Amino acid sequence: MPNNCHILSRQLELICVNASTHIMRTKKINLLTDRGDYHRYEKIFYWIRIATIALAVITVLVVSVFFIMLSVQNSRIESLLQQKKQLLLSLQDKNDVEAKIGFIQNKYNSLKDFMKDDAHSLPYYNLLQSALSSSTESAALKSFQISKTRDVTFVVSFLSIEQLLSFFKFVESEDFLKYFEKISLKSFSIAGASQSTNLKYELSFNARFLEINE
Amino acid sequence: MNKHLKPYIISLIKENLTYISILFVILFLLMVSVSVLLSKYSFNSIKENDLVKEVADLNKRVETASSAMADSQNLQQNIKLLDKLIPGTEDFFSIIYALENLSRKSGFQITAYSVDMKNSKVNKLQISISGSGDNESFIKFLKDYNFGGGRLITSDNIELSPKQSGNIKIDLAFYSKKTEVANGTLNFNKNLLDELTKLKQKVDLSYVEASEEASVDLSYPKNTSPF
Repeated sequence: MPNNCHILSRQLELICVNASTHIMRTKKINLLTDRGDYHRYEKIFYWIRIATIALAVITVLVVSVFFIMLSVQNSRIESLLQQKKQLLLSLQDKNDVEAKIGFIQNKYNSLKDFMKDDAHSLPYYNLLQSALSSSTESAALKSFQISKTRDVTFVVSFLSIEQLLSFFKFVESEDFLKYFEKISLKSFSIAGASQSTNLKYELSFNARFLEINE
Repeated sequence: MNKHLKPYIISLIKENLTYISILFVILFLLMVSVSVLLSKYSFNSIKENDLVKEVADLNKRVETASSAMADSQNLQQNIKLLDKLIPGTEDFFSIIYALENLSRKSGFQITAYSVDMKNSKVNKLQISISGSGDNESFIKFLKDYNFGGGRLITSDNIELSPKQSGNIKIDLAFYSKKTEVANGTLNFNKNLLDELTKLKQKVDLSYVEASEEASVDLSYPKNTSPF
């Protein structure tokens, strides 16, 4: 019986030695063939470790910067809220004055709106008169009608055909046209045609003035 | 090949498992915290910008009110002036007074007037006037009619001729408006004050001064708490 046991243990020993020899052989062979790959993978994992540390540092920095920015921003907001509170308190004493100012402002705005209904006839009349007198002494403004949209109808009269022809040159010049958005000749007539001694040539225009600042 | 690589990759993964987990956690934290902090920052920026505008408006209001308080007499005069030019309710007496005043100032004699109800509106009373005078007086009338009578008057269509005389007809409009007191940002700047000063020069101030204390309704919504 002891002999049998000895033989068994010897056999197990041999099996273990064989197995370990086989394992050792296998490891050795793998390390020799795949060493390059192993180093490559180890390098990747090395950089993963570095990246983890770097990212941790970056995260701490970014979050810190944000917190600083937010705290600065919050303090600015707090200061603005304090200013607003002070100003509102100071305005409470000035409610009456503010109401008066509001009244003036609204009335004045209404006044400006209502003034849009006005034809502002005189400035445009004077403008046309001065333009005509600067062109020729002979042109006489016979009538002038203006609306709030600055649409105007005016009649100019002349004593001779030469004066009329010279006025045509002026009408087409930039010196005259600069006052109008548009202008067109509405009609031409000869007044007093039956009395050959007192002929009057009349030109009627439709136009729209450019807006002038009074 | 992969079959042989697996064991040491697995071993490397096991060795670096802590780092890999931390990397993912940090990445997640970074993304979440950056997005939360960014949205908080942009929300605060909007709030700050709004507050800056509000404070600037309030500052302007305080400055305006303070400067107006310093010249309260002028403020009161401006209220009277504008309330006479455009009264809260229509007042026929002031219309007649304005026409007479204009007639006296210009020399253009207003001989008749009639209310044109057809073209009148709630805030606008249309009146047709007939008058006589030479060209000079009519030009003077046209120069002064907007404010010279003490009421705001407009005419949307005017016909004139250098040699006109005799009876002249002209359509005039008078205005009245109940003015609500503005609440909020006031724009009472120097330009408005300058415009009002110019306006005063055109209006018969004696009429404004002589009139009774302006019964102007300056009621405004009172806020008990400023916040």
